[in-house]
Amino acid sequence: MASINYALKEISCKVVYYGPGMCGKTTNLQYIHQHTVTDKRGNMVSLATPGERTLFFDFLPLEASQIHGFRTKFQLYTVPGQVMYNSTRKLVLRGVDGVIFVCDSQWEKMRENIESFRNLIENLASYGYSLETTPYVVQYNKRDLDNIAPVDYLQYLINPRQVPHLEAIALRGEGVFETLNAACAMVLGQISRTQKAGVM
Amino acid sequence: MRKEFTAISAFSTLIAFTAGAVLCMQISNMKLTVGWGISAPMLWALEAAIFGGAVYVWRRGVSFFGWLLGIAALLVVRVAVTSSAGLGLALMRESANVGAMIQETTAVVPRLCAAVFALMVCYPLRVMLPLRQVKSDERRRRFADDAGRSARNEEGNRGLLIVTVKDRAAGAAEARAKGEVRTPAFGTTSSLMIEGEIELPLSTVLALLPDDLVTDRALALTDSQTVTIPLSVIHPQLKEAQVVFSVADLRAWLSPLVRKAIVPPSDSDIETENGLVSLPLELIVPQLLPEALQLPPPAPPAWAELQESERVVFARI
Repeated sequence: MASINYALKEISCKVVYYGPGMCGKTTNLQYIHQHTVTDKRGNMVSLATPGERTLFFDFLPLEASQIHGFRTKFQLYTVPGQVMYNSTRKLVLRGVDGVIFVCDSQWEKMRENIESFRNLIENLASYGYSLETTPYVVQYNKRDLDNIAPVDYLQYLINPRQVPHLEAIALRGEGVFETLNAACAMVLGQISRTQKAGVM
Repeated sequence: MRKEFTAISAFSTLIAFTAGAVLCMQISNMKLTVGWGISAPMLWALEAAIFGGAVYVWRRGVSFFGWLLGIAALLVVRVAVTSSAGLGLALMRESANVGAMIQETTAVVPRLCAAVFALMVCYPLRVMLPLRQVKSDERRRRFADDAGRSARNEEGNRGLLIVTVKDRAAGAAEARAKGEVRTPAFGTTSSLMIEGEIELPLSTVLALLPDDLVTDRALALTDSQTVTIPLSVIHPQLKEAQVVFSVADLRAWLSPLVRKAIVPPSDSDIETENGLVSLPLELIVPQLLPEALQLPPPAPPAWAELQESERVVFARI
């Protein structure tokens, strides 16, 4: 969960990009890394195989503008999408404040999207978290391809709660910052709400 | 479609080749003199035209390379048949001049006879000719696009799409207005009674069936036929992003004409996973009306409400 340092006036949040293998999680992070001001971001750490598959996770620390006098830092993580790395995915989810679920819009990936979403729910549950209390957005990626499912159907499959969803072409950066901003804003909103309720 | 060259195919190929060679020998022995006056280049051209037509008819959707390969193979087999006949004659007559006997003949009748037998020899081999894969994908996409357009078109119901969705909630509201008592209304898709049908091109369905069930007779019907599947059996599976049916179920939805042309699945097929066929979502979903993918009334969690002031956190440079 988010840590708030009142002495340093600093909030630190963790946002995880989740989704099936090859859906574009690392591409999102790479685009953010390339298009944010240098003094507001740290180095991107990426542990990948030669085939550009995420082996452990990607990590990118970012600093947002001051919010209510607090410096806000976001730690962006991706998980390895391949089914066999579930323990790593579970580990990355520890202490998560917000999730960006990246969907592959291609028809042949529909089943993998569903399985990954169910896996997210299971892994969150192992820490006692749930999607009812953890802010998340859904990003429908690869919208530039020919063989993609309509958003109506993707919503029907993945997003029956109708949380904010965005269409994206991560390779070109379309929808990347919009998704990040939506997720970060929701995380901050949630922190603010829990603070007011005196939970933290 | 049968994609393998089986032992039976090999046997029939061998029999046809032998029969062709023997018949050519007989014809050459008869010394028929048919004065058609066809020159050798014309004969070659005529043969190539016949073979080209045959390859095209046998294997609809054959690639250009496959088509040329088919013609070349037929010509080689035809030459082999006439050469074998010549060799047979030389052996029978105990002729010393074998070379002259197996030389390419310009006599029309043995050549045409050999051509016919070359066609018979190569017929089982046609399954090896490569198809135009890209065109097939394009056709499927075009079908999906057309289906989607007609689904969203008010006039569409008269054409390909026959999908109707009965909303129980609307029915209940209507009943309440009339003072009738009905079960409570729900807003989710599970409460919708989905009626109607989905049509898929027969060629797509046949391509999904096990190879040994699909006969050439069934394949010949693909241009004109579609398969109609009730939406009520498809809809419950859409949530799983997988529409799977047994071969026996699919067979039941085929038209009687096509059903007769399909080999019935064996009991072992039905019991195993081989007997299950996954239908392409990209052809099904575009045919659905928006009501079929209706979501429950929006009730997102409190954290999902974004305030304008919180929207921009990071800016792109």
